[in-house]
Amino acid sequence: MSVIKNEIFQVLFIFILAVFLRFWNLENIPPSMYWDEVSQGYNSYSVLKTGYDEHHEFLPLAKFNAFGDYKAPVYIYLDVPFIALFGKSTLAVRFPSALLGSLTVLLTYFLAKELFLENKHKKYIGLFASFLLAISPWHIQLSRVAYEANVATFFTVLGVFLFLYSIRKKSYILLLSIMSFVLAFYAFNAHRVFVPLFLIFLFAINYKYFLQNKKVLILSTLVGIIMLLPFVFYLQTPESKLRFNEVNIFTDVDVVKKSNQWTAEDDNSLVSKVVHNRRVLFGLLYVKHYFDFFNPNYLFFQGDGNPRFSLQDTGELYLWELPLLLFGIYALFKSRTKSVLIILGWFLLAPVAGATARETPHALRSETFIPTYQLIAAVGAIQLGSLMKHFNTSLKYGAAVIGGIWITFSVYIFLHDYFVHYATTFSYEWQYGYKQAVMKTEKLKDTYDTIAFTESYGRPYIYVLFYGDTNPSLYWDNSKVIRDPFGFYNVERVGKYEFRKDLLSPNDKGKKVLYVGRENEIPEGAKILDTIYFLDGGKAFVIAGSE
Amino acid sequence: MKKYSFALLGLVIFLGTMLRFYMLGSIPNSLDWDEVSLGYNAYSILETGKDEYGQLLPLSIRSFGDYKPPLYVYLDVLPIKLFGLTPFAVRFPSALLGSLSIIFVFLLVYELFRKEKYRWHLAFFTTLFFSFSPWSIQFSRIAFEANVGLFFVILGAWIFIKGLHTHRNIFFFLSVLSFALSIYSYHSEKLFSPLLLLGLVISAKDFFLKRKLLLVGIFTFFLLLNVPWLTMQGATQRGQGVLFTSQQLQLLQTVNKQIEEDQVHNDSLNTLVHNRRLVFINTFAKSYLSHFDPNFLFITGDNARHHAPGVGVLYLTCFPLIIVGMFFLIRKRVSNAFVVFYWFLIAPIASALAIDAPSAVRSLVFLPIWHLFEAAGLTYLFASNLNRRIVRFGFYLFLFLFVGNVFYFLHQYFVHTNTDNGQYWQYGYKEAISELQNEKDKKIFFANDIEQGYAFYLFYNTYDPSVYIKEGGSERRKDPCFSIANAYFGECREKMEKKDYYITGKTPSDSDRYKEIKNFNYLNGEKAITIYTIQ
Repeated sequence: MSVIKNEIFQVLFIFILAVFLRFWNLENIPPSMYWDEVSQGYNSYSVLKTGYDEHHEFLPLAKFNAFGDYKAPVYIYLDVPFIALFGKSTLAVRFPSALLGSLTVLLTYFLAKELFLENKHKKYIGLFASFLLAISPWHIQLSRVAYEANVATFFTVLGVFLFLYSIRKKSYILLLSIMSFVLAFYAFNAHRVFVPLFLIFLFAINYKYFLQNKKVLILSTLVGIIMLLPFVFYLQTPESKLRFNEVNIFTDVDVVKKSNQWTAEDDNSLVSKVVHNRRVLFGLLYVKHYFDFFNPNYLFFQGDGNPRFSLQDTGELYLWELPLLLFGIYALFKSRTKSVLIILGWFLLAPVAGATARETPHALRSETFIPTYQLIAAVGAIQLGSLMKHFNTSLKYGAAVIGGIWITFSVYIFLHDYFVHYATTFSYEWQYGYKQAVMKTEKLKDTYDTIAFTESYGRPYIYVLFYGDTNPSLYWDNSKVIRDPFGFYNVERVGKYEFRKDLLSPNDKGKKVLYVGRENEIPEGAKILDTIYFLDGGKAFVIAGSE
Repeated sequence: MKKYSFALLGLVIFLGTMLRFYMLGSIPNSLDWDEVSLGYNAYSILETGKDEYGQLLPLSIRSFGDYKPPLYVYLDVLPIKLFGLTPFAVRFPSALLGSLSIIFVFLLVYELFRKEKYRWHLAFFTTLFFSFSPWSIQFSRIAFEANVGLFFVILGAWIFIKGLHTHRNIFFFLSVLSFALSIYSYHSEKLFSPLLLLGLVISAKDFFLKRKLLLVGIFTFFLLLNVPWLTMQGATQRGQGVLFTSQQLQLLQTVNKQIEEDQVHNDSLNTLVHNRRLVFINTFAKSYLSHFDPNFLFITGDNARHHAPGVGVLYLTCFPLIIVGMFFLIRKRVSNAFVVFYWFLIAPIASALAIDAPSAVRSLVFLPIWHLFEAAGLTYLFASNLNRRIVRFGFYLFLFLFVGNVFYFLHQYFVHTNTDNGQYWQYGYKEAISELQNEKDKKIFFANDIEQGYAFYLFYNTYDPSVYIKEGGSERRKDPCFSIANAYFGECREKMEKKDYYITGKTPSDSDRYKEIKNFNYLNGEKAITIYTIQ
């Protein structure tokens, strides 16, 4: 039995659990790759084979153009070795996220021990926090998809851990910490706001240390600045603002209208121009979006409204974590140490970037919260445990049994719903069917002149590139790409594939055409060759040949 | 010093009263249907002793079939006698008891923290925050039964604790009476008041263990007071209609689908796991916690009638104080903190059982606890061992922001409620009815989109209740078409003749039949209601 009481064994057990929950059946749950995953995968592949990205740009540093949405570069480079290892596959594309997600669980243990160095329960806080993260619905779901945010989260946690460690040891490991933070910065958009703010905060509360160790401070600042240079150049370009303008709340016309209306109702008096200033209203709107991240329905019941981030009937956190969080906050307030300040600062800064966007709350843009919730809950569990010492025996056991049943049951039901029902219910959300359709058309394409592929599911070209046996140079040389006014790339043709809104085209006269589209899009008279179904039984694609 | 403090307290109470009475009849600028119904039933009881259905001294006001608790109507009889059948008179009981609540909030907190060093500060600041509370002001200025219910809850709690401290048995019976009155005021209290009473007894269990007979006496008295409504048909009907269990089908959709999928796989364990009862527990928990959504509390509120435009029900600037206040009440092991947190935690239960959670009106019994937390935050920050300079700086910063926040709320309430929310207050009904007040010959037809138009007609024509009851009263609402004098409600198209009037908020589909004669707009310029004549 002594092996169970061994700390290394316990940590290893939690890590293996985390790996299992993140890697098991990774190819099939979620059931298929959605656009961004495939795009990242293809760009990695392109870089691996040629050194150039999809748009024939040599080793981009600040961003990948991809769909014209300017993807952050870290994930794509991280994925290169896995594409080399496993080929163009779902497993390869999702591997970095699942791997770094699992490692985040491990890191959380070390981070907790570093944060609560003086606490006599630090071992349990670490174990409990990493266990909570291992089974977290939020983190499991984001770790099983090629989400950039999940990688950024890993580098943030690593950065904080190294930061604390370097200060304690007075060492130059701080440079590694800064590098890790910069990687987080390059990994996901939200971190471009969060990381600088959080770093300033971390430096500010340790200002005494840095005043005494100026060399470290200067050197690490230098490293940080050099690493940020590619981004600074990118920032000069107009496209850097494009994506932000598209999603941010400060372009909302309704606010301006409301401001004007209220001012007019006050007869345009000077005071009312101040009170109903649009900046005041935008400020309040920002607070509203910030508060959205603390909406109990989002946190504990429904989760993010986007089914790609959440099951829709489980929250980002388990409901049983709520009492632990309350106890945890209380305990943190009570102890008033620097570590507490770090956790609370982290916690309050976490939604700062996400709150500027229209869609709130957003599980991805606020993955910056991880692992603060788990740390707080772990502290709460310790607090609760010490409180329970005062209970009499039967009450103690009663509470433990009820708590145990509740926890087991809700974890079980989440895992069951996720691994059994999720893929079936939401295969549509995952662009299910593209892979099967492209595999089929690849087999048939030699006997047809043109493959007319529907655009109605969005961005079909990337699936053709990924699942077809096209090499990157074919795409550069033999395709038709148009850029729309919003900066998005619209691919109209790749080799034989033509991507159409309307599958029928006058150019098809005398040609043999293979149609791929929704059932109602297939032209009359075409001969149906194959049908591809969503997992819930609905029809995804019908493949038909012209006579 | 003491004299000075009392003057300050008096000023706070005075200002709070002013805020509840100033322009009471015209802000919000019209009565909504519930207010009109309460007012006319009170008038009817004043004149005839019967309600609009001809029921003698009813214990439940049938109104639109929603069976309102009766107390508000009875409280409104005297104001209507004094001020006539006016909006001011209808809202008077709510404003009066809302103002008196300020005093009892002070007394309650002062009594509750009898053993606290800072009892005066706690009580004073709670009173201050309650007095300027957007939540309390909102519901004190409309004829909502919930506000009366809250008054009797606060009163009951104060008397109870007074009883504990003075050992006078009569106080407990008075307290129970007050709690019973709260139950006759509003639905939420049917659940809340017994629970709170239970909590108060538990908090003083040593006291009652020595006085078991007293406890039995109190319990029996409380039960007796509740017998009338418990045994009454109809009174519980409304309660069932608004419970979320009435929406079973939607709630169970997902779980039913999952059960089907598991059945296909012959997975019998998991068909059990997807238990329907759990869905209800989950729904309750979700609705319960929705009352703590910071956006509901501080930014958006719920229904437009429940908050001023662009603000929530609590002051945003007080948010940090609430967190700090809760922390200190636990940390300092303040005596009677149990009662405070117990009250706080049971406050949204009734509201959470209903549809449309969160609801500021169904969870009004949260007050004055939120304000007590704010007060505790302020008080204990001052008393804390933090750096004096930081505390002082923080205080002035808070004061600056808070004053700004109060003015912003008052401005939004007193200026923009009427312009922004006219439609939610059924603005235009009164104007249209008054326009045709002297029309005795031609018939007036109310379109179906004029909801509960008959109540507005009765109210604004001060229609003689004895005549109305003699004509059949509101029992006739069930008829497809019914008339009061020359006014017609329901499906009455076949009775329409040329030159008759037609009142609607929509544009009639066969518009060439109608000629527009007068249009009433909301204060923001949008069309509210139009009077047509039939050609």
